[in-house]
Amino acid sequence: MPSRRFLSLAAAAGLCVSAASGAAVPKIDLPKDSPVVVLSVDPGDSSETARGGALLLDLHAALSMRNASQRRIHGITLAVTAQEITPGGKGSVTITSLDVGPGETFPVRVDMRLLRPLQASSNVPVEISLDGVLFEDLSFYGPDKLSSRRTMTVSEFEARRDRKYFKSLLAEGGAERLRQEIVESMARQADRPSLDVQVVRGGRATNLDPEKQVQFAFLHLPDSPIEPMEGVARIAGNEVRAPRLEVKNRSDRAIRYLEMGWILRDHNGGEFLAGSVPAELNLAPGKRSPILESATLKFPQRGGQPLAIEGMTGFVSSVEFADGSVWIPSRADLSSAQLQHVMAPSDEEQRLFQIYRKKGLKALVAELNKF
Amino acid sequence: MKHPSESQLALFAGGDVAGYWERWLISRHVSRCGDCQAEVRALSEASQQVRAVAPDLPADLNWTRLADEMTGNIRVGLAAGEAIARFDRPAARRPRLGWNAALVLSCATAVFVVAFWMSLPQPQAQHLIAALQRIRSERIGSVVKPAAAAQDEVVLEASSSSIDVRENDRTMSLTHPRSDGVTVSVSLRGSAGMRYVDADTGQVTTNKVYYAEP
Amino acid sequence: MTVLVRTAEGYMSDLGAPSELEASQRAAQELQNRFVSDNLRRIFLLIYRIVQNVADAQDLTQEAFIKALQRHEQLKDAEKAAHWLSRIASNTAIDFLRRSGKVNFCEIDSLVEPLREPSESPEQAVLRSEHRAYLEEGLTFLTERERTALLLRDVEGLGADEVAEQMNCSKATVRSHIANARIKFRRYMDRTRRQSGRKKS
Repeated sequence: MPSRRFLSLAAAAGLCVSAASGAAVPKIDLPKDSPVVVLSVDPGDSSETARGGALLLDLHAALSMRNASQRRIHGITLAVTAQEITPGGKGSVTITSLDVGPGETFPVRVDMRLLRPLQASSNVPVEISLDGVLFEDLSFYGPDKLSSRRTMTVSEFEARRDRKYFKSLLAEGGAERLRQEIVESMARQADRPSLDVQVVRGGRATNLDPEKQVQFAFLHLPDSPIEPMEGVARIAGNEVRAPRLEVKNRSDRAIRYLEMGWILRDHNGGEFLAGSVPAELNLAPGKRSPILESATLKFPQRGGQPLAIEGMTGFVSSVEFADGSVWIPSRADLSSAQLQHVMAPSDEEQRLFQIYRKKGLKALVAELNKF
Repeated sequence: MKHPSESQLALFAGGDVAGYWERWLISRHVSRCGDCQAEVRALSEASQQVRAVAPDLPADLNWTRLADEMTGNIRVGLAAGEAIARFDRPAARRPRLGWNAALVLSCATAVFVVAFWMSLPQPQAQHLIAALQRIRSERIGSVVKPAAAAQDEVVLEASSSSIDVRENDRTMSLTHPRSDGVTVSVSLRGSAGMRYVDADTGQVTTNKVYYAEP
Repeated sequence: MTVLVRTAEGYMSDLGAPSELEASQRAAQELQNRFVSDNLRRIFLLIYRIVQNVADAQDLTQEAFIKALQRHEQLKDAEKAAHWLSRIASNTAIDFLRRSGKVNFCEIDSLVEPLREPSESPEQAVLRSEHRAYLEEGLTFLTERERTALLLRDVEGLGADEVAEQMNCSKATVRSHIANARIKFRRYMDRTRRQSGRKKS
């Protein structure tokens, strides 16, 4: 029987509400040997408001930072902390696809709403700290509490993969070929079904639809170091509960983390990328391991027909080896019909789309030629 | 011959008679009185039986499972206690009962957040909350009647316009994209992210909100 | 490809090689784990015997360990730590009963209260588990304060002075609790023996 998670901030009703006002000016906390320094912080129209049992901190801060190291910076993650106890108190801002040279400045915006228990002091500023900086040579600086090293390294690998791909198109078929691919990719993104998804703690059954156990189908990517062996989840109407997977390490290196993408198919045959199932492992070469999750994914109705889930497909979306290197699917892998339809473009591809949209094809070609 | 009282013999049996003189008198009597010797023997045996049964676990108790639960809860409780300590303010500056109750509640919330990731069933998490509430009120030094945790569910929802926290039928929207082309992602381990290309800077920015220790 | 990690303190290491800080944190964690595993059953039983309820005993055991481990500098001497933990545990259980409002530890019970009929005789309790059940039932005849005083004195081996301190009563009161507890338990054992004797004859 699924267990329930019960949680309430509103039980603090009846407490005195402290007058919350004034800009929530963040406090920046960087270590002495940080490769980035903050030149200025503009709190903008950041504010805090009492809402029911919580303080809502509305941050719109603009930071100006400088690369104080001798290497080019390709990614940065800042942790933004209002409090670390109740949900919604901690966030992060990650900027990937950067290319900031030594001594250069770059902006970072913190646009975020965080929550704090009502009676916490309103004089305590939101703290912004550095979780990590990724350099051009893939070296990393930072405490890495939010696993930003892994996230940014994966993003960097994807960026290199996609730039190489677009450059190869440019080389083969010129600017027009590149334009064609970019436009098709943007069209796919526009057509990609966007799904509102809820993650619910504890897997509480909220609908009365009969529950059925459904096997995962898997997309097999030939070069993937991880082979998904089998998987099941319980499906009831628009809820998917407690996925259980088993995977095998078919590489010759130990694997410490993997992420499985999770595609859902509805009763109309429509497919959606629902979310990712991350797993921290210590998987030796040749060994198998289960992956278990107790959360429930729910897909709320937003007009139109309610969603009924019929099937699921899993695929390996990233792998981190014990030595810190990563594996990601190739462009060839991503060109499979199923993945092309559901996968969002990488950070770099998104950035290149934006350059094309705003500045045109020439600017895009110039950008690619920088690398 | 005047016998010691039943209470005196009961204390004598365990070496608990106060006062050297009283102890000497009772000892002298018991050495000469068969009835009182028997009584002392019976009382000693009672103590021995208590000692014998004390290390036995209650019947039908799955000790292995209970021990595992308690060990896990203790670990969770220590972690939650460290998180709470960051919010600790001297009680003198916060005389209002409300502050204490809110901290107790925050403590409860922390437990659930942390407990989730250890997959504790709810009754166990409640055990831990009860314990933490007591510890918290002792540290504050006031008698706190914590509000009972309402039976609400926290739902994290990621949509194309925002990431929402929903509890008690209230929705709080947590992020604001500043551009179009927003991509939303959800990780089952407790975060939701919105990626967009910042309209002003052209940078690819991902904002995430966390619901547990990553 | 190896990725180097640089921490906020500027310490460079290859991934997977533990730093000195990590090693000392691991050692502290192991000490903590051992402290819990060595004492968990004993403390649970101490508290359970006082409060006579498994669910409450679980809460209170956890609470006691959390309190004790928050002052982890005390763990270095294992024997002292165990003794100190016992004190925390019994205090926790006593406070719990006191807060419940049902128990005033400093009132003395009458010995004249009639004992209810035991459900079983020692001769019937042939198996170890049944014998234990019979003895456990005897403890339920005691009031909370008598049982607490008896457990602290006869099982935990605390001196009467220390028991008085833990129960926050006078030594004379505690001695009365201890005496009453021993008497009642002895009477319980006598009665069940007499009952089984009557049944045999």
